[in-house]
Amino acid sequence: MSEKNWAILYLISVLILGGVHSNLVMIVVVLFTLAINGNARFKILKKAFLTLLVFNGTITLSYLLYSLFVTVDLSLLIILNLRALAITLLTFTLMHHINFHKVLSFNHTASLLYALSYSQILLLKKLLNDYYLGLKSRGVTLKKTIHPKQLSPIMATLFGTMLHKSNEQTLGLRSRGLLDD
Amino acid sequence: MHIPDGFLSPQTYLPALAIGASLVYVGYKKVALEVEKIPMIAGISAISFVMMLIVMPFPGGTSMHLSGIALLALLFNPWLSFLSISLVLLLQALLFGGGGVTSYPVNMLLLAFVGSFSAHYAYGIFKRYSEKVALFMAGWFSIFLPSLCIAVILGIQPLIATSASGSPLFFPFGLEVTLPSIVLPHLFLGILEGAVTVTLVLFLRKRFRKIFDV
Repeated sequence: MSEKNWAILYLISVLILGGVHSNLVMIVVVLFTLAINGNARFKILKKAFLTLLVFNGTITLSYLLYSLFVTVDLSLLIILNLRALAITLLTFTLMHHINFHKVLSFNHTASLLYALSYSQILLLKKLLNDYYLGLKSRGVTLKKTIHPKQLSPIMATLFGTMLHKSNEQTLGLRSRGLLDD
Repeated sequence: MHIPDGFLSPQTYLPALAIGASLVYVGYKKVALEVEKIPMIAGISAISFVMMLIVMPFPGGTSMHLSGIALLALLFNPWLSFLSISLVLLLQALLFGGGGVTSYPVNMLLLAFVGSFSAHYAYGIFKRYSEKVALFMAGWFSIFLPSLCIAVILGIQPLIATSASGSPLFFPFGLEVTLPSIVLPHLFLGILEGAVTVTLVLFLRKRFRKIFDV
């Protein structure tokens, strides 16, 4: 099955899960995603748990606290978290198995924007890390105070480097005929 | 500020999907990308991505983070900012689970669309007083208005999606919880976003004058 068809199947599954209120269905989907992910299953499960902990954890906790004072339906918490776990696992499974760039191949602009944004995010991640290591090697760390006068040249260099690298990427895309001007 | 998966009912995200898709189509038709600006747009979108990933979860149903939306809306234009941030939100949902897939249309409308246009119009309104005040207010409104809309959308879930027994099927808290717990912290976060917007817009316009043609 092509990448596009996998994505369509995923979207249909997510839409169905969004409207179903059965714990059993959610558990089946969770087990299914774990079964098809092979060696990556625990890595994906850990990532999904961490995501849920950050975003759903506070709601679950506040609802539990709320239940100490008022009678509330705790079964809602179970279905809410199971649904979120099932959808998150499905999303991470999809991204693990397919190349999302190919999903967007039906639209040149969308595909290009995705490639450009994703590469830019990876570039910025590497750039920030390199920059931090550079500053650290010169004895400047977040623990020490950076004088306000130092901040402007630091920022200018950081943005300048980012822009330069980004320009390089754009020129690369243009030279390959991917950017129409 | 992202709404996670499982909190919103289909009655909310399906109409939002239709509206969001229509707005993306309109934005796509309206925005003409100048090749010289693409690297800067991609760069600032990446900065926005990083800013949005540093989140602090909040009990009211969402999380707090800076956004950089006003930065894009003011340096370029609100439609371009809307499209860029929509893409950033999609990448966050798919790669990091930041904001859900089912809630993506609502996040896109409230964060990307409301955030970008509130920054744009706030800047227009306050520009007559002072440039710095206008930039600050643009940043503040780009956080405040989306947070207000998110509080309302989450708060009405127990009213629009309930079981036969009357208990909520999705997000359990009503407006009396969501409005204070989401909007109040964002009033203060908006001050930080405003300060970051003033600093970065002035800095980028001055240092990269060629690109912004100011």
